[in-house]
Amino acid sequence: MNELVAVIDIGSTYTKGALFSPAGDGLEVRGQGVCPTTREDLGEGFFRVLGELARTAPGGAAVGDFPVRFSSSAKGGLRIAAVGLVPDLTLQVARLAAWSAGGKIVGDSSYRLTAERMKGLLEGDPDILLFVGGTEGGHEKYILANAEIVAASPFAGTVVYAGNSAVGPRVLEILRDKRTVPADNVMPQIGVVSTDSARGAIQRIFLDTIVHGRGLDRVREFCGSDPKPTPLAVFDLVSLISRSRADWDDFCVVDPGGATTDFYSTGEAFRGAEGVLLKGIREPRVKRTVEGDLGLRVGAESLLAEAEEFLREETENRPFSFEALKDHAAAMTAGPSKGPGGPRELEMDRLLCEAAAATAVLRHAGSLEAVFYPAGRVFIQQGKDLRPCRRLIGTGGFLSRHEMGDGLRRAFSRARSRVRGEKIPLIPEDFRFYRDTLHLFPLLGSLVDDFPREAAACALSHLTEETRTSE
Amino acid sequence: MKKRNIVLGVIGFDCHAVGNKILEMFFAREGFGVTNLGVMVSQEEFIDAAIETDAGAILVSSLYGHGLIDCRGLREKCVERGLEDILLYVGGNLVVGKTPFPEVEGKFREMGYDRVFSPDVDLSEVAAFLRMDLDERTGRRH
Repeated sequence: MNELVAVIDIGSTYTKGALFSPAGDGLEVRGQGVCPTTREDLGEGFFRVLGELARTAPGGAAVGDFPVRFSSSAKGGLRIAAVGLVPDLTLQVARLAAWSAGGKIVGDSSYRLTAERMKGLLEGDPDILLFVGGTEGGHEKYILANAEIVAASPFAGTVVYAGNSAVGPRVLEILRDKRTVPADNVMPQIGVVSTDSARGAIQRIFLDTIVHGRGLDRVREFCGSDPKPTPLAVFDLVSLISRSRADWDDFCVVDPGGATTDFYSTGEAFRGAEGVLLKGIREPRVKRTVEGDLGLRVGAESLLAEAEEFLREETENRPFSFEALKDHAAAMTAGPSKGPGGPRELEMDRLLCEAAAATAVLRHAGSLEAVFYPAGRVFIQQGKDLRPCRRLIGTGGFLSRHEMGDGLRRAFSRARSRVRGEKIPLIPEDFRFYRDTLHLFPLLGSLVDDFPREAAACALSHLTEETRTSE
Repeated sequence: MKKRNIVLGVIGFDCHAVGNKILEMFFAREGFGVTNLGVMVSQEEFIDAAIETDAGAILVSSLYGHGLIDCRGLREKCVERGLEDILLYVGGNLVVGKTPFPEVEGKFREMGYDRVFSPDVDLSEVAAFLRMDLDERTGRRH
């Protein structure tokens, strides 16, 4: 039965898996399984799902007959604190690196790190401190001073040093009592983003220090392979699709989860045009952001606070009041394992999902500002231009199950018109909406190395395009 | 020895790109580590880049006649951001009209620029000044 391969994702709420078999240029889904994640012993849920997959295998199969890959959400995400120099330069590149490695930023600091500020970073309980600053052959002073502060702190996680390599050896010497991993400078020259090495370092730390215990060692031994952090699996799949499929070189993916909302985009950040100038860093082709304050369950109350204005306006045209939505969000935050109750709760969840996606895309996308001067007008672009993206994919527990295309299109267009001031947000203007109905994205992300062509084809062939009902 | 880094750019809403490219090529060939921010550069961008690259000098160009307004306050902002030692050079068509150059130079000196150049300056002269001034600053720091 070596034509079968199983993938299991151990999420924070559910452990889910699917069984695939190569078929032509793609992969066929032969079975799926799910159970609540067994938090004390993650292996228990894993093996339960694996047993289910074996039972659904065509013609029957025994556990052990087929290879298994797996991913893990790592207690809801790799927690990373970023320490950089200039906020719009190295610190922003550090954030991009952390997000693209599947991490979540729990705190950041720029310029000189004080002992007080370091204490603040530790309150976010980071697993990793991503420490950057200076171009190659550039700044040294603050980096060395900041290293002393980190060294003197009680931080017990791992420091990834990805700043100016000229002081790398001295930084590692100062941090000799900490666990450290050196990586290449994330910004070797002004505006140039180079995050591959730092991403690799973060992934190694994930494997070496974060995925031990709670039964994961047993799972690793059984699979004979290492897990990927779930968001990295999705990131890898998104990169693979945009790299290998000419007709899918620019698209976005949104995943509004219970605690966070993830947003991915592919395509050139800046396409250049007559009279448009890019300022600041050139963001990468494949970009991920994660919003730790936008969620549909445990993150619902903070989402409500972040998107209050949007939600107040929207509830004027809905069969429920803003106050009722507020009560719903509070209940969701208090008891996040509850699914949607009746149809009224579902309507509220849909609105929360629109708010989460619209807020996330505004934060992910760059902006364009018109500047007038004696000889005419120019546009200054900052960040990434998502306007050419004509496709949006919805994945995750909520979007894989609910038709939301019209709602998201409306929410994006409202978001665009609600932004005040001179800056135009560069979010997708019009898009076709596709749903990852079987919720395969996190699973196929674990197959990008073994079955690159097939995984990309399978992901796309299982998308359901929603027809527009409005406009 | 550490390469001597400098930051270049055309300040304000000025789009004159040709001279800027020439400056970049020239100073790179002279052995400086050049970060060229291109045209329409704000004061903040100059300072951000100078911090990250540990630049010893910022070379500001202005060709469209608004130099006095665009360049004002850069020295003070540098001090605020911790670059109290950085060299500031400025050059180009700095003001509109036929103001005698010594007068223009005086105004920019008052604003905290260490050297002020007219548009017809010989670039090797600028490079020689730059080496000398950077040596002097390095000496002072040690």
